[in-house]
This record gives sequence, structure tokens and C-alpha cells, in this order.
Amino acid sequence: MRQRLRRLLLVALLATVVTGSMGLQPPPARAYHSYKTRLLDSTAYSLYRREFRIGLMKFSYGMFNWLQLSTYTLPWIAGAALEQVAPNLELKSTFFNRRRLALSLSFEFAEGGVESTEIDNGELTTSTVNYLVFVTGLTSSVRINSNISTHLGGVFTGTDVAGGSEPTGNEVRGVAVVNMLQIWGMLEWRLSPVVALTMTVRWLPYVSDTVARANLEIDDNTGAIIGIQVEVFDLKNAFAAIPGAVFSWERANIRIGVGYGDFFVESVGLVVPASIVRNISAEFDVFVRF
Amino acid sequence: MPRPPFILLLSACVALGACAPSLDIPPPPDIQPVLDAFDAPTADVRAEIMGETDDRIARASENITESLLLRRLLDIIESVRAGLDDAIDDGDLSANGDEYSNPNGVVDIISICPGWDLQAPEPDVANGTIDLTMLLVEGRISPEVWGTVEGCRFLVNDREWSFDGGVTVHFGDVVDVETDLNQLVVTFVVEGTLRLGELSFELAESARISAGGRLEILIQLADRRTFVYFFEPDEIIQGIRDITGVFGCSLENRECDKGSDGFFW
Repeated sequence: MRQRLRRLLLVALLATVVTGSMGLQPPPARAYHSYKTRLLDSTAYSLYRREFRIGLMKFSYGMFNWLQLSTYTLPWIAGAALEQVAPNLELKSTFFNRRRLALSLSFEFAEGGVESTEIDNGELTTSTVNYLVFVTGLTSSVRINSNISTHLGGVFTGTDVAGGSEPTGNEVRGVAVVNMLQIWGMLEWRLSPVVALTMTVRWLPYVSDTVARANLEIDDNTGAIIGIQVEVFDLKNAFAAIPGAVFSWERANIRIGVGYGDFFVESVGLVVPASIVRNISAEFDVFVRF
Repeated sequence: MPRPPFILLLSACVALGACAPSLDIPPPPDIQPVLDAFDAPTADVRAEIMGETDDRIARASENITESLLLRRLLDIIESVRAGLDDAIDDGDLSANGDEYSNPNGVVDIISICPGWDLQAPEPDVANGTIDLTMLLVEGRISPEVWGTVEGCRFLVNDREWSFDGGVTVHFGDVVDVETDLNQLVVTFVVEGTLRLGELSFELAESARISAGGRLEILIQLADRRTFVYFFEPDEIIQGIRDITGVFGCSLENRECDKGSDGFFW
């Protein structure tokens, strides 16, 4: 009897120690959908402090529990291919996160350039275009219940493009500007800790008149600044509806979605008209979170 | 760690975006009454009218022809026109490494006046500026070009002229960028102060220059009736165009040949 009791006490003690040890150590970072580990894209949530996200589309680091630093990979890759680096940086802050409501604010800038050389009538002509894009976003996320969340946001994108060609008979260089406001919403439905279904709708209710400015040099005394309104594409009221899914395992995540409409380039806050992408709007990313 | 006031950051971000340049196309000044008066003068010129206006006509003619002010303005606009002609091909403007088809917009022209020192190595803003606004309408030049002249110094036959004032230039109709503006009938409305050394003249005239060099000056009477006095390039042939028609005059001889109604004043 005493031996049995002693064994039982020993087992209970070991169990207590093991269980207590697990409670004392910080749990390993897991990307499974959970109350604390939320979707990051198109939501108000950010990485936690010292968390990393390394993915095909985006690199992110949680500086604080409420501040995430990110850079998108696509402008870097495109810039490297075009031999002109295109740095970009995004700050996202979840400045309010209590109970069912979270709010975040983000600011991003991207800068780059494109240079092309062609032969025109036997003459070598070099064209350069430099761009600066700044994106400001405000997002709210609301947890309806443990499985369903809604996310709503607005994104304002400002773009400056400067470029010109040389040599030409009359060098005309200038700047083009377009601003746009995007409203979006996403419904998230968690089927399991691994699978979440999403339905994202994006809409562009406001696009400024595109203004291009060019400098015309006449002679040493006389010059002109040409300001023209152009409509390169009819983007007003562009929209997309994208059903998708996010798969999250311990560290790896896959986000996919294919829908209908214009193509919203999330990394730079710009829109590619449906006529160019044949009405196919997509979302895709593969990343690890740890 | 206290969180920074991100609402302020948001405000700054939005303000930065809202401050992005936008195109403001200004409305051109309305000089239609001047154009109408040139086309259809309303006065029946007689000796009494010429007696009241001959000095004004002579002074205006002298100031315009000796200062070459209108010619200078037209030359600047024509040089910009030629530049646009180089940049616009079949209605497409080449700029920013891209092409803009049939553009609508504004051309702000800035010209630094040459000054009185022909040996000056480079343009000096202290010699004054001419700031003009031209509109593009589907790749073509709108009829009106207007702006201001500030302290513009220029030499004509070694004489030191300067002008301060406002100008409006009208080509009659929308102009293709390939069109030489010197081949058109151009209307000028000029108001300001013309200086020659110590002398100062208040200039408030409406004038026309045609391709052949004919100068027409619009005269408006106190009762708002109008007539046109013209000078052919040789200045020997002069005349009047009024409600009754066209007839020859001579300011020097103070006479007009109005057929049976010819008169002296």
C-alpha cells in the first residue's frame, strides 16, 4: 500500500513538474490560426515583438507588439532586374487592440526607376522614368465570434512619376501625378486552426485626374512648363472580388485567392485595369512566420 | 513604451498626398468685345472725331512700332509654338518618356528679358520677365495667350525700353502647332507703362498685326463707339475702317479721303 501510494505521488509530482514547466516556458511561436495569432494581410493585426515574417512577397519584423516594419520583395526584384534598386518600406501599427476590435495605421513609401534604351531612326535614345509612391492605410478588424472576423480598410495612394528622354530635338522632361483612394473589405471564416477562408472585395471610388508636367526648354531666356490632364486608364470605380484561403501551419503559411475584376497591386497600392489582366484578380503569398 | 501619436502621422500622410500637384486650368480673359469691335466698328468718323483722337493714334502707333513690343511678345509665343511642334507629333505629346494623345492642359511660358547690356554673359532676372499662359486643347493651341510683363528691359536700335503691364494675345481661332503664328492676324490687348529712358507712356491699346505687317489700332470713343485706324508696313498708306467702310487718311496732312465726304481737321 505504501509503495503504491509512493508511486502515485511520484507520478503526480512528475506530472506537476512537467506541466508546470510547460507553463513557465514561452510557448514556441506557432502560426496556426488562433485567438492571438491572426491573419496579417488585409487586417489590422501586426506581428508581435521580435516575430519575423519572411515570404515570397513580403519581409516583416515586429519591432514592438504594436509596430511592424516591412518591405515588399517585388519592387526589389524588379529593380534588380532593371539594374535600378527600388527601395520600399512600410510601417504598420496596431494602435488599438482590445476585445473584439483592432485598429491599425500604416504608411509605406516606394521609390524606383526604370531606364530603357532604344534605337529610333538610327539614333540611340535613352528614356528614364523615376517614381515615388506613398501609401497610407487605415484598417479595422472586428471579431464577430471565434470563427468569423470582418476587416475593413481604406488606402490612399499618391504617385509621382518623373521622366524624360534624351537626346531629343527638344528635351521634354516632367512629372506625372495620380492619387487614388481604395476601400476594401474582407470576411474571414476560420474553418480550423490551419484553414481560413476569405472573401475580399476592393473598390476604387476616387482617382484623381492624372496630371503630367513637362519642362520645355526654348532657349537660354525662354522656357515653358506644360501641365496636361491625361487619362491613361479609366480606373475610377475599379473593383475586384477575390475569394481565397489562408493555410497556416506551425510556421509556414500559404495565402491564395483568385477572383474577378481589376488587379490591385497591394505592394504599391496601385491598380492594373481588368482589360490588361483579362479580369483576373489574384492574391498569392508563401511565407514563414516565427 | 508610450505609443507615438500616430493620428498626427496619419494627418501628415494624408496632407502630403492631398498636396500633390493638381492642374488648375485658368479661364482666359474675355476680349470678345475687342474682337467684335475690330470686325465691326460702330463709329462714323468725321473731322471732329479725328481732331479728338489724332494725337492718341499717332502716339500709340509710334510707341508700338518703335518699341517693337508686340513683335517681341509674338516672337516669344512663336518660339514656344515651334517647341511644341517638335514635341507634338500627330497630336501626341512626347514627355516623361511616354506619349500623351491630344493633350488638354496649360503651358506656362517664362521668358527673361534680354536687358540693355548686350554683352551680358547669361540671362538675368533683374532685366524683368514675361509670364504668359497658353492653353492646349486636344493638342492644339487655344486662341488666347495672356499674362504679365514685369520690369522687362530690352533694346531697340540702341534705345533702352522697358514695359510693365498686362497683355492678351488672340489668334482668332484654335491653332495647329504646325502653324507659323506670324502668318496669322493677331490681336493684342496691352495695358501698362512703357518707358524710354526718362520718358514714360501709359499704354492702353488694342492692336492687330497681320501677316503682311499691317498694324491696326482700335480707337474707342467716350460714348463707346469704335473705329480702326490702320498703317500699312511702309506707313505711307494709312486709313480708317469705320461703320461706313474703309478709306484713306493721313495724320501728317490731317485729312481723310472719304469720297464725297472727305474732310480735313
